[in-house]
Amino acid sequence: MSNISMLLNGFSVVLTFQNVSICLLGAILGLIVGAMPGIGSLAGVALLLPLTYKFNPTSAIILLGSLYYSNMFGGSFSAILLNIPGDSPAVMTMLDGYPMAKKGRPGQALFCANISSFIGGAIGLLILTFLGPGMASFGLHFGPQDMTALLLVAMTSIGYLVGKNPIEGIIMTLVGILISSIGMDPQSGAPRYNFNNMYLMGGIPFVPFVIGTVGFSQVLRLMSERNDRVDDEILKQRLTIKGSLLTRHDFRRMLPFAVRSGVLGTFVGVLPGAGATTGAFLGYAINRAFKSEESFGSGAIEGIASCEAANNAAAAGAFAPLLALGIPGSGTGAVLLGGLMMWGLSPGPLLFRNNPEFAWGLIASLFFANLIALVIAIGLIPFLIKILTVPVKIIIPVVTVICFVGSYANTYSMYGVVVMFISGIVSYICEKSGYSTAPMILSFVLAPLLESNMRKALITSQGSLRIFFTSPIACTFIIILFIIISFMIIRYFSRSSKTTMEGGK
Amino acid sequence: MEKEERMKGRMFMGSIADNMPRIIPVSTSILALIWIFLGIKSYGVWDEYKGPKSGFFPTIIAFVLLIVSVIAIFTSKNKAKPFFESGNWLIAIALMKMVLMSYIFGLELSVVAFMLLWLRVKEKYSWKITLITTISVMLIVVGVFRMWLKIQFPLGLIGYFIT
Repeated sequence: MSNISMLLNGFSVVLTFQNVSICLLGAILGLIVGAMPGIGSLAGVALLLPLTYKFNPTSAIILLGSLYYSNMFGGSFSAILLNIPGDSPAVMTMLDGYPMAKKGRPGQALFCANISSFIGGAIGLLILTFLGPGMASFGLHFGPQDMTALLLVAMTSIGYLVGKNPIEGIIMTLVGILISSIGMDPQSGAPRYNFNNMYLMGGIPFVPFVIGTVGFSQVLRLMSERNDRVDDEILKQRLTIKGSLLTRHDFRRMLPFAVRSGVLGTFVGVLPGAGATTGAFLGYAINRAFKSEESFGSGAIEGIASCEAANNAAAAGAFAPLLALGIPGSGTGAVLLGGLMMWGLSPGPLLFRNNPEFAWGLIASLFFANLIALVIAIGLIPFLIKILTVPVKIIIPVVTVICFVGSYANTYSMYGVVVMFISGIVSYICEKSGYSTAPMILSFVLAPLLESNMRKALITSQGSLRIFFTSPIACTFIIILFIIISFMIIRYFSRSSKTTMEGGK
Repeated sequence: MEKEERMKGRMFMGSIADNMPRIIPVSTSILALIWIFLGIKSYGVWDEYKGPKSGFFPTIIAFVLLIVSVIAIFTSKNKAKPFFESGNWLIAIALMKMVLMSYIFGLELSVVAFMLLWLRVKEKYSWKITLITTISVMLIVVGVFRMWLKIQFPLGLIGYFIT
């Protein structure tokens, strides 16, 4: 059956009253959480994860998908109106969004961000429709040795790309793997690293761990911003939908930039570790070379279109390796993967074959979420200033309570709260010291898969490492792995010598 | 006297923060050593006939972590020192108190107390804003978690005696 007819089948899964309502709920919550400065998509998805307990797996993932997707729309709002990015991809939106708002066109800047996000997302999802199943068919040829090599590349590249220092990224990746080894051996079921503790025997629960790592640590960070006052002329304006509409001329200006960024962003999103932030950055940087009516950085509508389309396209592109190979491209992707696993679904090459209604239902729900998020984002324009000016002083206790209750709800005991609390404190200290926690979340989710594949490969080869060099797929990934490690070493030592020289001066 | 003690406390926190670029890799190398020790001693690494044992994978990973952590310790000298504001820990202390209170008063009452105290006493918000925010949060806790998701929250000692 062709991909299009499978997608149409997916729409028949999504277009039920329950799933449409869930998608709508996810889009509204995602937009509001994404719009609040300082929370971001990763913390947003993690905090809302407990809401999925009520639903069946398909509906739960539709909720998560629409949450994630609409979060991407929301990040730009505070970047445009407050000059504070809602999440990291929105940093690039700020460069033109805020100056455009300052020029007296905040509504148009928001409208342009929404339309470009929609265009980028639609392009990304169309490419995903064709790329995903192809990637999955290719993945069917993967043996355990190939999967091991691929997972090693994914984990190493994320450790390398996320954060400033590759060594710190690698340390966090490895710590995530060790934490996930607490509990039981995934193959024999024998207890290990539980220190004779009854609770640890079941392992570290994913939801409280993620809520703590990204949610509670964010609350601790927000404490420093408690007294920051937002006082801007832009916030005194009254925004209306009618007054925010783009003119035909504006639309003509932004369209080619949004389309180019959409295509580019999708392919960036497919790469592990690259994610929406890299997509937005590259989309902006490459489109800068093209002719625009106003120069980039001065409030150009083309600049907003370039990064917004690219980041949403990258978010869609990241679903291709996530669904087809079970490899998330970012921290948020890892949370989604954890959510899928919580529901007993293991994304990977067999997902499209064994659970087509689920895989295509999710892709169809993303198309639907893209449209719904656009409609709601435009509808929210008149209320945005109210949402964005909710003081951090109020956000702090509210998010703390959600962290507490959400962690308790996952384990039905204070064990979840303790896990959330400890992981929050440790993550806050690590983040403040320059150790990004995103690689830790990713490796925590992927470690069981890596371990089982590695052990299977070694059992097959009777302990010989040659198995990783005799298979062409594994061999290719191992070469890529060596290249990444070499770059990592060069980057690390060049940075160290630069710092020493600066210190000497 | 009190000022002096507070200063000492700040200096102690400051010295921890100054050494944080080193404390983190030292902690991860200790973690790695524990994992290697337990992996080899308690869980086993390799079986001649069955292949990798329970401790195999974590031990290898811990070994790599140990090497990387040692490199990070030796190169941490030039790293920028983080700054931790002591006020940021207040929310962590408040959360701990909320958890402890929930053993006596139950989870819902503890959340109400936390919200009221934080917004009214700490942030000095008006009663109107405090009550609106607290009621909104309780709607999420009771409406979404207790009624919709059917989560049974702890009632605490008081709730236990009442019911």
